[in-house]
Amino acid sequence: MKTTRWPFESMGADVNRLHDEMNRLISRCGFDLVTPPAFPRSNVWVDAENVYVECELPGVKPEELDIELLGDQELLLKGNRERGYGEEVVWHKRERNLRSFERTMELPVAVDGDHVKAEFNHGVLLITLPKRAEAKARKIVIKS
Amino acid sequence: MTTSTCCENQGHKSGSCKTSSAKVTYRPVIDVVETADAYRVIAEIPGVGPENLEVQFERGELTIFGQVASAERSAEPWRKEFVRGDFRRVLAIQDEIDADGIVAELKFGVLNVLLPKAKAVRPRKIQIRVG
Repeated sequence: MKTTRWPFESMGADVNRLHDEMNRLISRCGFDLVTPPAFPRSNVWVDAENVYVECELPGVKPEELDIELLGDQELLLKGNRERGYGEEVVWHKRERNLRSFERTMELPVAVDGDHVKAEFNHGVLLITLPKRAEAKARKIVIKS
Repeated sequence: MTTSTCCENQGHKSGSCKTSSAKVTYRPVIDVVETADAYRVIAEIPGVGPENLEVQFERGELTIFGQVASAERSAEPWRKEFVRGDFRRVLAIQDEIDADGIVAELKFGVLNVLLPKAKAVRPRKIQIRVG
């Protein structure tokens, strides 16, 4: 069955995806990012077996973070960051951008969603996603 | 007391700190709040463990710094939005601080430094005697 989605519902994710894609293209060209990247800032790299996604999530409690795989080539991260400094304070600097966040990231290749691992260490999340068998490079034997 | 009780200091005073010549990769973002009894400095330093972090307070200046080796990966990044590296941030607090009472806590990549004000600068409630 074909489902029709309310047109504005997915706009945030689409804008983020476009932003991500532009940043990726710009950074590939070797320039500094023109605009600050979406939260969380992320590095993605790939080896023969896995896709690795590393995200900076300072102040996010593991229990307040949701990681979802959408299909087999898209990752969704969402969660909350709170200050909790109390109300009776005088502000001198307010640089931390704390709010709820949601980011959808395209992955370079299809991954096996059943064997994903995630580790959280000092506010950095590392997700290891094994490539699907058909996405792995195969050596082609040349017949002479 | 002036209106600005804490201000940024680039920490470039010659010879004031032995790490001033170190390569600085980034300046952590911070919040600074003040209550009647203390200042709190909250710095985002994701990926930094206590072994790579130093917090100093000297002559009214709080310095947060560390050296973290950047991760060498054999694979080429497909997306790269942040780097690991050295960091440093210096902040001058103009109120007198009880240096022995400073407490620093690192949790989920966020450093929280509590700097209690010296008793002399804390507001005191004056008891009123009834004559």
